[in-house]
Amino acid sequence: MLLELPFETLQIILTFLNRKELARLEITCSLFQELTRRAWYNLLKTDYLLVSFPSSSSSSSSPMIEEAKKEYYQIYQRFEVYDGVTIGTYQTIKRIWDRILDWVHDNDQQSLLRFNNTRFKNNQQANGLNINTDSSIEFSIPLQPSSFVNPTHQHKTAKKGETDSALTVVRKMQLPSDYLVSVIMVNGQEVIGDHGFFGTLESYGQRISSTLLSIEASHKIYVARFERFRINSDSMFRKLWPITLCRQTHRTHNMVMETIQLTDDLTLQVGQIVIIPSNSRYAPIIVANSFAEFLDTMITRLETHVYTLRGNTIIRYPETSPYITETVTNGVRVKGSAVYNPSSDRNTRLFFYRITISMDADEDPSRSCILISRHWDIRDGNDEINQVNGHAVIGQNPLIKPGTKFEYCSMCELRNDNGQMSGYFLMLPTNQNGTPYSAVPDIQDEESWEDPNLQDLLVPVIVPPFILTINQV
Amino acid sequence: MSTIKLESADEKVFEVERDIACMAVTIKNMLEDIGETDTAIPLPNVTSNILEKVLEYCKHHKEHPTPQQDEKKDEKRLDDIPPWDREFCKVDQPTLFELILAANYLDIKPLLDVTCKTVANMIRGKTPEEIRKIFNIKNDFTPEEEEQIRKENEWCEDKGN
Repeated sequence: MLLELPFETLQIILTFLNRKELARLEITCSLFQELTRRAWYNLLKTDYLLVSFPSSSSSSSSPMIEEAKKEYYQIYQRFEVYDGVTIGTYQTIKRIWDRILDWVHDNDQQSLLRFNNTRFKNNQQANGLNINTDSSIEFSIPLQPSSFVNPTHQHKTAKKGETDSALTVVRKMQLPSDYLVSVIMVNGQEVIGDHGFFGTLESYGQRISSTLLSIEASHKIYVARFERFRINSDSMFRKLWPITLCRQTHRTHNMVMETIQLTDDLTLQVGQIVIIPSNSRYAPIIVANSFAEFLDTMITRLETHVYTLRGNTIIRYPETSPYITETVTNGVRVKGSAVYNPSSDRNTRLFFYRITISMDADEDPSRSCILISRHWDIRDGNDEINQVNGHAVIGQNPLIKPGTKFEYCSMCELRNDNGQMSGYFLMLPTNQNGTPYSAVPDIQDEESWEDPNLQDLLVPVIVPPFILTINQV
Repeated sequence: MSTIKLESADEKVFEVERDIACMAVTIKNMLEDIGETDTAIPLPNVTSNILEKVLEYCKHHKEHPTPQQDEKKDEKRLDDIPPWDREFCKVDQPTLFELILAANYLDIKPLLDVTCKTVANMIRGKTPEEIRKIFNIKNDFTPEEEEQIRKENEWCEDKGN
């Protein structure tokens, strides 16, 4: 009969069962209860591609096996249960990951393998713009998905009692002690560099970025929040599990663990992804209805070029897409685009916009010029136009000459979901060294741009209308 | 075509093509150890009716090699038993278990996989009671113990899909 088969053979049979079947087999008799313990460990590998535990050793001693079912249950609870109903999010997430991997594969092979950071080289040539550049970053990553999930490799390299951080493990090309998504996301982080996976926002030369957290890291933050804010048991934070972290602002994306009734018209549902505005007066903002949707949005943005890869950083500004517009006036090329930053309060919409002002290298040098002033027409969804005039951009008067590129980011608030920005810059023609053709007032002076003597000399450079929308996918 | 002789536990001798016999890694290793021989290789753990089945399996698969599949790790588990193999495994339980033992002893991985999958398929979709009945398993839990495991495992009974 069945139970007379050798244990090792029964174990093989058990590897073909899923969690439901294992659980039922466990109930039949004590021998199967015993046998299924190891099977749970195997199931962690097949279902979640998890091959080691945070504190486990590589020996197959029983405590690790005992833990397997518990570990499985925890991952299952976090990623496959929605409102008490199993939805099998894991496979969805895995498919999304496969797409991310494909995307990275297709788009930036070279820099994945070995990347010397030369981004913003052009920017630095522009006068005065100071963006911190990273020193050379070198890394190599496994490009084949199979190298993430090679358990034999893992066992060879894992040492007894070793508790590597996920990052260290990735560096050694071992599997981190976590489920697949974060395994690969952590790898993804490495691919993307130190500015994070979910895009870098730039404004006034500042860069902020979010990274996806491993289970351990998110747990630490969850606990730390309790200690820091002395959270009581009815606090909303008790029900919010951090899944991403912005290192610079300490802002997190959070998964809702229990339904939270905030006001009559705002309820946070289990599984939704929310962010908490830094001003606690404002309610959390829902950014996705599930973790899968959250990830899916990210990859869709990559695939539709809403996010783009520059060097080793994923940037939230498109390089080419329907959301970016471009025009050339008087030899000066201007590109504009904007992204929604869902982190302000609920009454206004905050957008970051990026402007690139450049001149082609083969352009006539006599068309060189210095930016003096800006004019914006900001149209909101109700067709109300808000006009803004001002001296310089981000406090600078860049010189635009053949081969240079000046890029800056700033922000703009709208009262509703959609809008449009357009305008022009007034430029002072100069020679290649930035010397005006005739005497002018001090252009660095805030008031100078309104001087009629200067005004007469200025030529406009058009900023083509670009769209501001929260629905940019 | 060179042949070799295999002798079952009940002392029946089978003459088979060397290549077919060598699908059993155990036999292959033995042959490498002892070199050319006319003596029948004794297989004391395998009875003649089982050995006959095993050789039938090896012969079929030598003649109809399964194309190397891409390893799709996602869906490796379920009902991917080829039709011929499924028919082959339609035997009574004692025979099936003996085939498993033989495949294990002779080290024929594809046969071991397919027979173990067949057993897994018999478990699939059944309640604990049905599993006990099918395999004649004696329930050695007290009602309290059984209830506790049931409670503990309730989450595995997917409510969704």
